[in-house]
Amino acid sequence: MVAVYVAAVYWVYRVSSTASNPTARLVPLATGMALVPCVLAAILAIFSVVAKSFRYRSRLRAAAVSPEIRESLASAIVGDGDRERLRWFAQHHRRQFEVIFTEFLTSFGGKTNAELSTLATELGLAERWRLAARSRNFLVQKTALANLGRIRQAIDPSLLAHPLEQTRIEAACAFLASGAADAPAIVFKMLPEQSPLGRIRLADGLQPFATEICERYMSDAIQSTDLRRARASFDLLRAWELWIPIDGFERMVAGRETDLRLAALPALRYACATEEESAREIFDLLESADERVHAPAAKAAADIGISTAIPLLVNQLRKDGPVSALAAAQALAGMGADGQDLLEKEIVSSARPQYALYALEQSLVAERG
Amino acid sequence: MSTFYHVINIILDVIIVYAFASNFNYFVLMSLGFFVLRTQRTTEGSVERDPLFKSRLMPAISIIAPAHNEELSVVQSTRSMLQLEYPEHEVIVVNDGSTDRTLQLLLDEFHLYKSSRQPLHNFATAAVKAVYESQNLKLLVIDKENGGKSDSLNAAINYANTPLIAAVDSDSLLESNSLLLVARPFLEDERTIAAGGIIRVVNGCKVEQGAVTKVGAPPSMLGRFQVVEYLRAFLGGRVALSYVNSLLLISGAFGLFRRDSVIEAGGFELGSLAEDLELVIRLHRISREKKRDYKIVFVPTPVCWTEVPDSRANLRTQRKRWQRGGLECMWKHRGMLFNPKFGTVGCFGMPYLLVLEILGPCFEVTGYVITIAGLMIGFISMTSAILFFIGSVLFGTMISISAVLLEEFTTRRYVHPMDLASLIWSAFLENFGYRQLNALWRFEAIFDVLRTKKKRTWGKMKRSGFAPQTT
Repeated sequence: MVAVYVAAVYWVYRVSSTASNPTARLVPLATGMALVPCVLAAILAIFSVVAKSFRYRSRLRAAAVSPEIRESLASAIVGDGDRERLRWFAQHHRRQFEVIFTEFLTSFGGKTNAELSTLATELGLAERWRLAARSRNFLVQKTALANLGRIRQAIDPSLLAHPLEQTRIEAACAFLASGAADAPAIVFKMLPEQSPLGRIRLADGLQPFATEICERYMSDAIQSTDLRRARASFDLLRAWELWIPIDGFERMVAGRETDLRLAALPALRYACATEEESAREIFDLLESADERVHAPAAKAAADIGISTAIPLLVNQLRKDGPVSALAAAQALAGMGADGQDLLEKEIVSSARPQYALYALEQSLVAERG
Repeated sequence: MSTFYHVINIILDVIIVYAFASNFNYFVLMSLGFFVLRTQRTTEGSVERDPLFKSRLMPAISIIAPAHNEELSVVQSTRSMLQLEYPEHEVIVVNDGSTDRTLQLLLDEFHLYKSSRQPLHNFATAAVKAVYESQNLKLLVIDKENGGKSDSLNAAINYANTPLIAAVDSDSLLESNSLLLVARPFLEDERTIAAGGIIRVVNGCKVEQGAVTKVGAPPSMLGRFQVVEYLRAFLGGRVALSYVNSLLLISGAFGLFRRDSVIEAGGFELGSLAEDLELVIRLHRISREKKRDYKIVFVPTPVCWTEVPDSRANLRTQRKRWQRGGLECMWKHRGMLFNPKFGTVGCFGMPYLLVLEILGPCFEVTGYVITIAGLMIGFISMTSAILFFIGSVLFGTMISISAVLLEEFTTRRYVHPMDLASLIWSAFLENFGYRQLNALWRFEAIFDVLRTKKKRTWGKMKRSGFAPQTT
């Protein structure tokens, strides 16, 4: 194709090169150069419209058969379905059947999911996905890995080191779902290397193993000198939102880098065994000279409900900049009657009552529902 | 006389070489866009979205939407923004001194109460008259004196308290997953400071309860021409420019920014006709000057649907405004042009914007004028003139059809084959009149800037709103 193009342009050039002025030479040349790609684009466009028409028709056919596939699949799950009919759908409406089957897999858990997993093996879907997991098309590979995870089938562990993060993450989630004994430990170790997006996905996959991870691996990770590892652990605790006390959590965090302590703040309520333990860390940050830590510390104090922090919060409300003062006011409003009384006094007596007023107003609106 | 002809000859040669070079450049960008989009589709396509939607680790977002006399669409678009799939987002609508029922409709529809919320930052803006909040929804409405779009955006930034801010037009509709998708680059790479989604044309689509339920090509030819233009600009140009970190424009209709970066840059420029372009160039400038490792990206998957002008008068006003805005920005940041200190932005992005986008109409219009004049005085032969026209149509058709095909090979939002056929047909037809008209309007805008000190205004665009189904 390129050769035809070059030859055509060269021919135009030769024909026009005898022209007397440059314009007469250039114009045919430019037109000649445009003609071939334009014709190619037009041919491609015609093919695209034809292909789209076929796709559109098959889409309509798929839409028509979808209710029947759903019905057959639902019957099969409850045990009175026609397996032969299902097999026919799996062979003759392969793509649509797979889409609906995956939909069912993601919608149902427990016994139904187990039934679907058996069905996937029986209908040859599991084998197809295993083959697709080795595909060179990354999208096909990822989809297959996700599906293998849904039916709790083993995957190739070498995929955990795949250069593409998305593939790595899908492989890790599938690996966790497969029930391999060492999966939680291996995937937990992968965390620091991943982007925040990858960590969100992995946090979701690791949640069923939260207790095991907190008991066996979390302390080492938090105390690690690798900041990314410690930070990833805090992200995990925050994402799970499960109260699983980690022995000496506050001690492990205190005295570390400020950014790390800030990252640990939202995790305090989930990882500290007692309120006093969280309070120590929060007090320390509220008393810090660095104003940027005050707002998150105030929020953490309100989340845990540390009423002893009220004097420090009042101080913050009076002296800090807008962001920090607003956070203090909102924290006070969240401390119940004691905090709200103080806010009322601030409205009357303070030189800048606006943050107290807004926080109080918000809490009243919330109370009224 | 022979010197005169000689000069004209040289100008004509320059124009022909320019036309060829610019089309070749578009073609290269389009090809690069194709490969980037195909690769992104397979490597970044997410299988699971649920974990993101419910995760506490997603950064909170404030959607800021200025509204000036938007009574036809403001309720629908606000509702659509509130319904977006995202774990934590707040909507801030700024009523920029509307003289219609924009504010009243918002107050009635969302049962807003007068709030004592205070600004957390202090960008200077027109006076804020009142702030309203919703009892149950994460909605804040700022009622202020008219100060223009940038002024309203800055006012909203003053009140926002989230790490990310999404600047959105209040007459646009965001797709339900658009926030999740546009936030992805910030999670994938912490160097990202701004990201923009794709703007698509809502004319011809079916809209129900603030959401596009059926995608279709616009019924009018003018609308379809604009679809082709948008596809060419977004899927070709921006994808490729983003790939080399030289993206200069994140559309004001839908862009997500790191709040601290915008504050550091000084917010949106007041009175600018292209505040979106200006801010992005400024972000580049500051980041490069401070030698930061940063990224400004275009994401082709999150969609913002917008209504495009359906009359020539409105379109002319819009295009002249864009052109003036572009010129203003280019003049303001002229120091970055061809300046190696600014890397690919200074040596590729800015020259691309100047030579191909801003000065393009000058070359095009001059070419038409000289050809016609040359024909009349017999300086150019009829054969050369016809060939010149055919060459320009062929190049234009090739680029436009490629843009439509790019859409078809990657995102495939138009489902019906007739829509694809009509867009391809429009890609051909736009070369007979529409393209020339566009060039003329933009040339007119350049002329206006050079000749007059005309007061810069946004102009009014008559909208039909989303309420009636437009199919």
